[in-house]
Amino acid sequence: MIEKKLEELYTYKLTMQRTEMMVASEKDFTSSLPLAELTKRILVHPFNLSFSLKTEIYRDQASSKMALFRKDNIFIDQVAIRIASRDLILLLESNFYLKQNLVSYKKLVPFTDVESDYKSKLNQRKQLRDDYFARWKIEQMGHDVNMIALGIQLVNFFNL
Amino acid sequence: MDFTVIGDSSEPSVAYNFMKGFAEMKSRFSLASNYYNPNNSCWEPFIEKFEISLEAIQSIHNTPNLSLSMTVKKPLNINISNELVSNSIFLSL
Repeated sequence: MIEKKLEELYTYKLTMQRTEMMVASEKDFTSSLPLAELTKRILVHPFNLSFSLKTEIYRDQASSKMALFRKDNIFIDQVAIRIASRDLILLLESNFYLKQNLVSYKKLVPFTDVESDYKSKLNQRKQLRDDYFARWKIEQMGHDVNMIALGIQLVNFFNL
Repeated sequence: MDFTVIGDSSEPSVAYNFMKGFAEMKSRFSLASNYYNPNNSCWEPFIEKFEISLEAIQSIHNTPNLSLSMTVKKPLNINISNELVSNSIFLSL
């Protein structure tokens, strides 16, 4: 009975294709060469990832009750993570490089105060949100999560 | 050495279902581990592929209860060879 009266509240979808993680020297990254031609080491081999979230609600106007049903679908392709001793050294070096370069960001001037027009709009939205949550008694009634993960492989190789 | 968790595209690796007063989680995946034998220049199995099914059911109707089950259908085979031990000792030094 309830199923027929369900209405979609919001849906999010996120897809990441050929996601990979690599380390390379600063010289290579700042060069104008295309990525494929860089001298690099791949830590996480390219993989695909998708995530979708769908939320449906059932409103009972008389009692101001709202039942919330959520469905999540996650797909994670085969993930291969390869770490050798050389990669660890490169990661430590890159961490050192980042620390050195992030110091310059601390000198940046922070944002000035938010403009009054924008602030009033934000307050209006906040009021609308508060009114909505004050009116409806929201209760999560169901949550389904389906995850398909094709596998993860962790390979370490330490050449001492 | 590698550690591999293998899923299946035909059914969810993890399925979680919650309805008010009842929650259920099912998971099915395979595990395997290999190590590199430099003498033979090949990867050899340390833990042979085996499948695990996990199931957890929680209910809070009347009396709260939680049921957990783990099923392994095939025997778990672990191969400890001379090469593996000598490689492990070498790495730990």
